[in-house]
Amino acid sequence: MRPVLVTGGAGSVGKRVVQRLCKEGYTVRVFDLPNMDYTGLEGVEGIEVLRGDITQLTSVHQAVEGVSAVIHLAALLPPASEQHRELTFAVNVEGTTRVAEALKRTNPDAPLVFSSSVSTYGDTTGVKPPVMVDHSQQALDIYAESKIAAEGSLRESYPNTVILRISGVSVPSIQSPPEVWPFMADQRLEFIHRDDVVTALCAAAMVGGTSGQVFNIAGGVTWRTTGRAYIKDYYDLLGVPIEEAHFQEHPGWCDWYDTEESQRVLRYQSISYQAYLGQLRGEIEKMMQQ
Amino acid sequence: MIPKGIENANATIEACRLTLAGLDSADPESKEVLQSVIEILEGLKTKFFLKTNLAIPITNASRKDATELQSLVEEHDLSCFSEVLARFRGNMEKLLKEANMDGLIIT
Repeated sequence: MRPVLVTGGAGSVGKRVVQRLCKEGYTVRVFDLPNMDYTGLEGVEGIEVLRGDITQLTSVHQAVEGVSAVIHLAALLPPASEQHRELTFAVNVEGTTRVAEALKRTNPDAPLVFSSSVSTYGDTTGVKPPVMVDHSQQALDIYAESKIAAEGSLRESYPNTVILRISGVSVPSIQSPPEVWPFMADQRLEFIHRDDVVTALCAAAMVGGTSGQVFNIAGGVTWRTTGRAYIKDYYDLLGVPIEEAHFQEHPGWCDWYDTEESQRVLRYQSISYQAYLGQLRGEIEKMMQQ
Repeated sequence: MIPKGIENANATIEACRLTLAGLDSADPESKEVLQSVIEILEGLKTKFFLKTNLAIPITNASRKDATELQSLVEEHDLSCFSEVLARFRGNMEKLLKEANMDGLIIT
């Protein structure tokens, strides 16, 4: 069986994508930087680990050799992306183009799933929700700028691409908040559970007939809320007054998104916002008992 | 209202200071431990974790340890001082680990 390549496969979402594909019977090639943590991947039947660097041509050629599909997650994310513009473009744009060109030469039938971001829409607070996939793109930061450029490059170089514009990913674990939340208190917000993102990425590579399409990937109607309400739910669970939260005074990139078509094709929205809060509550109870 | 975790941290620092003041200068190792606990707690007080309910069990335990050390010194009964100090160190290490939570993932 030809393997599915997962670039950035040792990262937080990547590892779960690899494990999900394996569980569904696929063989997987994980491609990531040598200094990543490969626990749970190395030595597992059906998983081939390839350490390399997406900025290096030889590495990329080795990675795409003989694959049946590619889920391309490798990227520099905020906050690192905002501190290293050149590296961000080298990884997020040139790295993506390198993967596409290598695929085009060796196996152009392999679908490429590209993880883009809804942050490419920029400030959409002035438009009527939900934000559609044909909405104009206007970057507010370096990361979004790099994703817009990478999408453009893929459209030109590799038609067999599916672009997923993924919303903010909510992870059911307790994490420190940033000093300032990157959205306004009254701004519309629709995040998505990490496991639903994994489902969407895997489905996009497997369902077929999605080449050339662009999908918004967000949690669905149960996740539609505002910045303040979302953070209040989190703080309430932790017993912290909402007054402790500080919000941006100018709009961030968050909004509600049109996911009707992505849900129809990919069938990935399975964890409601209430279920996510339940998982968080469970985590907290577990930690309190320790 | 001051969060319970921070209230506990303040009480623990105070108990450590009183213990330090009452400790014999012939025990530099214990003094060093208590001094470093004070510094660590002062640093942790600004952490989000200390404001959450999650901090209550571990800071309760640390406060209890520190108060016990203080009582032992005040009563001049150091027979189990090392044992309580070791437990206190263990709880402080756990608190330090829990307070340094990972950052939020937002794409």
